[in-house]
Formats: sequence, C-alpha cells, structure tokens
Amino acid sequence: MAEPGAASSLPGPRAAPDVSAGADPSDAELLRRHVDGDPDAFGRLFERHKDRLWAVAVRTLSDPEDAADALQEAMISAFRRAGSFRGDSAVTTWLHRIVVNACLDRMRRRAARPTAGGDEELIESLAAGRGPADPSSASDTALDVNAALRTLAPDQQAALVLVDMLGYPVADAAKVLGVSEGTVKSRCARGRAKLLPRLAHLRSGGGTGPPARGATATARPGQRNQSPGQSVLPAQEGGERPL
Amino acid sequence: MTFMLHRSRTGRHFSAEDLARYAEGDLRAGKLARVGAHLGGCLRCQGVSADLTAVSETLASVPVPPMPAHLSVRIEHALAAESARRLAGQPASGEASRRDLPARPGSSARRRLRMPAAHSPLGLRLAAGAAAAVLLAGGSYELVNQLSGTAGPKSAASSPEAQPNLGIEYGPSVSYQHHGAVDLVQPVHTNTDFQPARLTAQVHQALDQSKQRLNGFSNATNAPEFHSASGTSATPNATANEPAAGVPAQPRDLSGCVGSLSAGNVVILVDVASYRGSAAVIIVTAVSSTAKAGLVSIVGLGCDATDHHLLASRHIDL
Repeated sequence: MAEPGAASSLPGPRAAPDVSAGADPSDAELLRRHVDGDPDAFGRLFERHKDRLWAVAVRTLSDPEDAADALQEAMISAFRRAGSFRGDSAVTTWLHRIVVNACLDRMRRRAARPTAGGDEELIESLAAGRGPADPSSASDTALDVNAALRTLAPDQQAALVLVDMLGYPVADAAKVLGVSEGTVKSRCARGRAKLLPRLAHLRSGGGTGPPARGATATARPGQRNQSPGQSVLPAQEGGERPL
Repeated sequence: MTFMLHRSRTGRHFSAEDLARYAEGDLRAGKLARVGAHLGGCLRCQGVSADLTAVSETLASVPVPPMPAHLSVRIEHALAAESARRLAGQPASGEASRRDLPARPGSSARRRLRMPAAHSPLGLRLAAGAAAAVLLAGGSYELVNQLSGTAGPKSAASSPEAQPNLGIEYGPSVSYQHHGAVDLVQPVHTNTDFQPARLTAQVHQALDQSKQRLNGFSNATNAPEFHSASGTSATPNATANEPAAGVPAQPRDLSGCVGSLSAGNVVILVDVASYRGSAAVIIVTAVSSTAKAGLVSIVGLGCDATDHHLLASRHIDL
C-alpha cells in the first residue's frame, strides 16, 4: 500500500535532511545530546514526534487517557533507556516500537481483566475522546471501528492500526513491530477478514454482494488496493519519512 | 442465494481469510493459483474481496483525535520531572511513591519547630539572617546556601536597604508534605504574566523578587506558629498574613494542589499570577537537596490534590 519507494528509507539516512536553513538537529543527534546530559533534548524529540506517537497509541487503545498513560510510560522508558539505543534502526522506529509495546502490554492486561464490558469502555471512550454530544456519523464509525478492533488479537490489531488506519508502509510496520513483512501482511489479512462481518454495515451501498464491474474485486495477489485516500500522517518536515 | 455459498462453477468458494491473504500474497503457490482461478469467475468471492478492501478504507477513514492539550502537558511534565531528577543526580523514583510517604510527626515536627518553613521563601530569609538556624535545619543546609547564592548582590545580607514593598504581596501560607514532614510555603503575587518564551527568565525573576521582598519583610510578620505539626492543613494566621486587597484568584485547594505537585520535593516558589493572560499558579519545586534543578509547574485555578490542571511545565536550573 506504500507509494513507490516510500517504504525504503526508514533506517538509512534521510532522503532530504534539514531542508530549512535553521537545520534542526536530527533525531539521532537529539538522542545523543540527551544521552550526553542535555536536559532539553529528549523533550524536543518528544515534541517532534508526539503527534504520530499519539496517533499510534490512541488508535491502538481507543481510550485517550489510556493512550496518554501508555505514551507517557513509553516516553519515560525511552528517556531512561536511551543509552542502550544502538542506532541499528531509526530513532523514530525505536520510539514507535516502545510505544507499540507499551500499548500491547496494556491491551493484554486489559484482556486479562475479567470485567470491563466493551460497551462501558466504549461509552468512556466516547466521553473522554469526543464528548458525549457529538452526533456526527464519523464518530459513530469511530465507535464501531474501535469496538470491532477490540475483537482482534492484539498483534493483528497493532498491525492494522499501523498499516490500514495510519497508512504506514508494511516495511515500516514490520520494523516497528519487530517482525517480517510477511508476518505483518498475514496479520493484516487475517484481521481484515475477522473485521469484515463487523464492519460490513459501514460500507456505503451496504453489505456483501457482487461488486460493480471494474471495481477492485479482482485484486491480484500481493496487489491489495492502494492506500486509503486520506492519510492521517502529518506533513513530513524536512522531507522525512513517516517513521 | 445461499446455494451459491459453497460452490460455484469455478469450484469451491474461499473464506474471507483466504481471500484477504490472497490479496496480500500470503498464500502458498498452489493455493494462490486456485484462489486466483476461482476469483476470476466467481461474483460472490469478488464481492467479498471488495468488502475486504472496504474494511481497509473504513479503517483509514477514522480520523485520529488530536492529543488533548492537558494530556500532552502531562507527558511533558513527566519528562521535565524526569529531566530535572536526572540533572539532580537523583535516582529515578516514581512520584507517587514519594508522595505517599507517610508523615513522621515525631522527628519532623521537632525539626520544623526549630526551623519552620526552612525551605520556603519565608524560611530562606530566616536562614540568610541566622546561619545557626540554617545548620539546625539539617538537610536544608545546602539548599539554603544555593538559593542565597543565586540572589547575588541583592541577597539578604548585602541589601539591608531593600524596600519592604516591591509590588508583590503574600497570600496565606499553604502547607505541603516534604519527605514525610509538613512544610510551609507562602505564596507570592508578583503580578507577572508568565509567557512560554520567557518562562525561565520570569521564574528566576519571581524567585529573586520573592527573596528581595523577604529581605524587607518584618520579623514580626514571620509566623512560625502557623506551622502545624499534626500534618493537617495549617490554618494561616489571618492577622499576620492578611492578603492585600486585589489579590488574584487562586485555586480553592491550593494546599492540596501544591502538596500533590511537590511530590515530596521542596517547594521554593508559589506565585499566584497569570500565564498567557489567564489566572494561573506558578509552582517551582527543587528536585534535589542541592537545589540545582527545579521543576516549574504552571497550573490553572482548578488545580487540587487529584487534578493538577497543568497548563505547562519545564525543568529549570536554579
């Protein structure tokens, strides 16, 4: 689902570093300064990436308070562990991985809790996220999607959040999740199949049925429909890639 | 239509999972070929494939709610606290565990009675004028030294001519817990409108101002007897600490707010002022006993013991 070439530059040098004359320090430089004792460096790193990290956390956990807890836990952990970052992946990948793992930990803990009915959590989520009075259908879709996502295994959910919801290239998602691209594809495929009956009603035109001629039904293997038109990724600064 | 669900003229239908995996190329070669051959002639499976695509589109259509400002600030505050702790060379410890330290009424009460509010601006003034008292204060010795030092030529001893009224006023003292003991801090009103871009300089100025004000502060208005050794909220002596008219609004539970935010650290400034034009309280805590690192927390008027209403926070060198 990646644009051609979009998936390739994650760990390597940035394609277009420091376009601005101000030449903000790179992520790696900020992390190095942090390790060297610069008290502001890590905060700048967080400031730079918080929107994307937040998106991952809130999409994975649905509940904004939960997401903020996971994000905070992840950032404190990254703050303390920065010295052990070996630079074999991009700093953003490393940060994403820590956030995703913090979210997965929470999901597993949540799953282990005997109570917490889904509906209650949904109501909480609605209240915390958008306020109870939001009548828009976009919000209904969000609730349906959140509820459906929760029926998935955490691994499948995390893969779908990164690839389908946030539009990350499979290669990037694989690096973040620490698995092969094939595994990401497999998790996404199984997740989509499981979501199908739960989300079919949201499709405009409704339900399963023969597609219009010329529609996307006859996708060739490995050529799943291209990325959704609406990217939620913020505009990239300095030509940097999503991760 | 159900008769079509199992077979078509191109053979057995495939499951949604098979079709989804087919689209990802996530099948072995033989099955991949079989699904491909079937799909070409089966409207039903084509429909399922289209629906699978629609699932992805639906997922992508859900907008990401923006990060609420208070949650962003909360994380920035946690990172600033972490930074300040590291700067202070203090081992990382959960704020909560420190906050939960039980009061030790015996020893701490004795200490506080000798040197009430040693860490507060009020206490600093006493310390500057009475080295012996500082030594009695034990653990606060270094802190006092450091803070007196930062005041420079205008510090207590060198500016006996300092005007008693420098345009700031004091509110009633609030109590908070510090290392299990109850301590006092007296809020000031510097009338500063704190701004993000100038925060550090403004905080230093407010600290200096509060110390200058203390230099001209009459001993008679020092009120060590305010201190409650019981650990409950100290009731300020209204006659000694009458707030001036026009004192800005402040949180109803300022004591709870300060106590909770201090997380066991020494509070060195509580300025009931404003932040970006709105009423706010600026609270500065010294993160270590050497007081080289401070944490500035800016809270709204809703701040209490459980909800800080954090507007911003930053670590600061003292």
